[in-house]
Formats: sequence, structure tokens, C-alpha cells
Amino acid sequence: MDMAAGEFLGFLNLNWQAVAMLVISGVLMWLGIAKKVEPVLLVPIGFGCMLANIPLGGAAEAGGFLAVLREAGIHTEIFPLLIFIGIGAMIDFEPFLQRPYTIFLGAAAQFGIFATFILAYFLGDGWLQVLDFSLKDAAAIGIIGSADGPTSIYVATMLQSKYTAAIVVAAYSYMALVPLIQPPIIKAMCSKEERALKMPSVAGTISRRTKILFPIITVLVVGLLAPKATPLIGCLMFGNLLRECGVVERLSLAAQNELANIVTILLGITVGGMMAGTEFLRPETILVFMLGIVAFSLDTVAGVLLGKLMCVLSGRKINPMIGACGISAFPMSSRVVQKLGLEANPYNHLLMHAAGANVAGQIASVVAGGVMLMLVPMFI
Amino acid sequence: MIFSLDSNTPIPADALTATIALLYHHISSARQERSRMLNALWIVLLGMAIIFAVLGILLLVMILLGKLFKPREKQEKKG
Repeated sequence: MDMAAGEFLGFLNLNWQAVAMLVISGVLMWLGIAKKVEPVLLVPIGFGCMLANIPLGGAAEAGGFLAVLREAGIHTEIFPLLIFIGIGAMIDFEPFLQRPYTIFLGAAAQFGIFATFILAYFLGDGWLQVLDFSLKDAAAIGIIGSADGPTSIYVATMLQSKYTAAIVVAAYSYMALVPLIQPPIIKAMCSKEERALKMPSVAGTISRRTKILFPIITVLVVGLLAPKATPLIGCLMFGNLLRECGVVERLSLAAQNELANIVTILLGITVGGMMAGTEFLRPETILVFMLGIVAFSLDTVAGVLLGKLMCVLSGRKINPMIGACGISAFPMSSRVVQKLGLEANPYNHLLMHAAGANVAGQIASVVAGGVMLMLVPMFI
Repeated sequence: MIFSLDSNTPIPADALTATIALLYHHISSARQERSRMLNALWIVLLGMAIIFAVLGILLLVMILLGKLFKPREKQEKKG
């Protein structure tokens, strides 16, 4: 009788990992619902995590619906690519096209990816061998620093990392935590005088033809120079072309709303479903999370450092804080910089300048993902 | 006798071989570690260089694009 009960009563099969993950799922949902921290991501992730950790539920086990979604959407890289079409349709690249120099801020802010990669590899197979991090795992961990969920999923899956679930959860969690991670670093690196620095507004608009040609040319340039980035940049720019071409408004709206929303629901619940306690609660997972915060922090530091250099070279016409927006996390880091700018000077509106660097970071993070996918197999 | 600390205590040849093998293993694994980290360093350097190069080229193309296609209002004002 006891054995029979154990076979159909979930709570008799609870272990400490499942209990811990159920608590974590509750915290994620609480953060999303009560604190409104990235609810679009945290509510589905939290719910998926809860489903995956109910013993005997089978949602995330072979044949379960979360496992099917994982197989169909994550292992095939379809979800991140589809969501990129939606993101592309939502992004207005005008602030960036008005300030093309911000592309270098985006490039600099990818440094955290590579610094974290080398640190993870040093701790793993590269030197100390205290953790089970292969070259591919280290690269996938580093990509958390792209501050871009779809890119993290895509690269970690393509590199077949053992830590894909932890990497994806870390990437999305830290994106939500950008308003907490970045301000102390920016304040430590920029004086109040620097933060108060006003930037001249950009005169003129961008022609419609430029806006239409931009996504096409970007795909050609990035695709021909870093071909591994083609699927990501292709989907991002396809979405943007739908938005800018002006003749397929219905498709643009569908990409921005229906497609993005449906894939966000499926992606969120699937990512949550990857958080089964027995696989997730390992020392390496905690290290992945710690390295993720290192990646975000170093991205911010590198971006601000280049911002400072540009500030000097431009004769103090560029506020160094906008360098922090090169980390892609759009639009959270722009809002952070806008808020810090207003705190230092109530008339200092940096939002559009920050948004320029932010969307530049979006492109740079995709290129960084492609570069990682290109270089890592060459050195194995 | 191959080698001894004092003339009365010979070191057996197989012990010496094992010691050399161990030493060789340590040296070779240290070399491997160094070469692995050098590879990783190459990835970092090449990675950042490629990102800056790709985005630099994109910037040049965009500047060119901006010059070729100026907004219509501006052209009208000039006219």
C-alpha cells in the first residue's frame, strides 16, 4: 500500500532539491507579480520552474509538454530566432543612426563576455580544473555578458553546453536586475560632474531610405564578415525591415505583438521547465550565476571606460555614462542612465543618447555571439 | 648504479624512470595548461578585434549611407 501511495502521491516523492526549486519558483513569480520586476519574463519562468519540480508531474521529463517545447524550440534554436524577429520589429534604430559612433560603445561593452569566458576557462579545464567547465562551457557562460536572452540561448545551445539552463536563467535574471547592477558601478566610475554632463541634441532626422537600407546592409556586412551571426542578425533585421519598410504594417504589428508575445510565453515557460532541481542545484550552477554577474559588471566597466575616452576626445560632448548602455539590455540600461543623469542634473535628459548606445549594443552582442561561435570550434 | 646521494645508497633504475616519468607528466601537463590558456587568450584577442572590425566597417557603411540619403526636409531647406 505504501509503495502504491509513493507511486501516485507527489509529496511523498519530494526531495530537498524539488522543495528548494519550488521556493525559487515562488520567489520568481513574487518578483514578477508583486515587485513588477520583468513580469513578462519572470512570471512564465517561475511557473515553468514550478511545473518542472512537482514530483511525478512529468511535465519536464521525456515526453512531457515542457520537454517537447524544449526539444522543439530551444534545441532547434527556433525560439530565440523567432523572438528576435519580434525584437527587431519593436526596436527603433533612429537614435543609433543619428549617433553612429555609439557602435563602438556597443563593441567595448562586449568585453565582459570575453573576460568572463577566460575566467571560467581558467577555473575549469583551462588551468585549475576545480570546475567542470570545458572551452565550450566557458564560452557559453561568457555569453551571459551579451545581456541578451535570445543570444545566450542560441549560443549556449549551439555550443551544446551542459549549463544551458543555468546560463539562460542567469541571462534573463540579470537583465531584470540591470537597474540594481549598473548604478553602483557607474557611480563608482563617473564623478557627479561627469554624470551631470549634458549632451547636445542631434539635429535632423534620418531619411526613410536609410532606415530601410540599414537592416539590409547590416545583415550583408555582419553576415559576410561573421557568418555564424547570420541567423541572429538576420532575424533581428528582418523584424526591423518589416517595421521600417512601411508596406507590411500588418506583419510588423504581428511580429511586435502576437509573435513576440506567443514566443515569450513559450520561451519563458520552457526556460522555467529547464530548472529541474536535480539538474539545476549544483555548485557549478551557482558559479555560473556568479560569473554572470562578473560578465555584466565588466561589460559596464568597459563601456564606461570607452565612454570616458570618447568624452575626452570629443571635448566633453559625450557623457561617459552612456557607455554603460552598450551592454544591450534594452531598454533597462537606457533608463538607468537617464535616471542617473537626472539625479546629477535635473535638466540632463540622456535617454535618446543612451538608447543609441543601447541598440548599438544589441547589434554588437549578436556579433559577439557569432564571433564566439566562429572562434571556439577553431581552438578545440 | 645510476645515481646516488651518497656512494652507499644506489637508486634503483625503475624508481628513477618513474620519477622522470612523473616529472615529464607534470611538465607536459603544465605545458598543455599553458597552451590551453594561450588558446583562450587568442579567442579573447581575436574576438574583440573582430567585433571592433565588423562594427567599424558597419559604421563606415552607415556614414556613407547617411551622406548618400539625406532627409528630404533638409534637402528642401538647402534648395
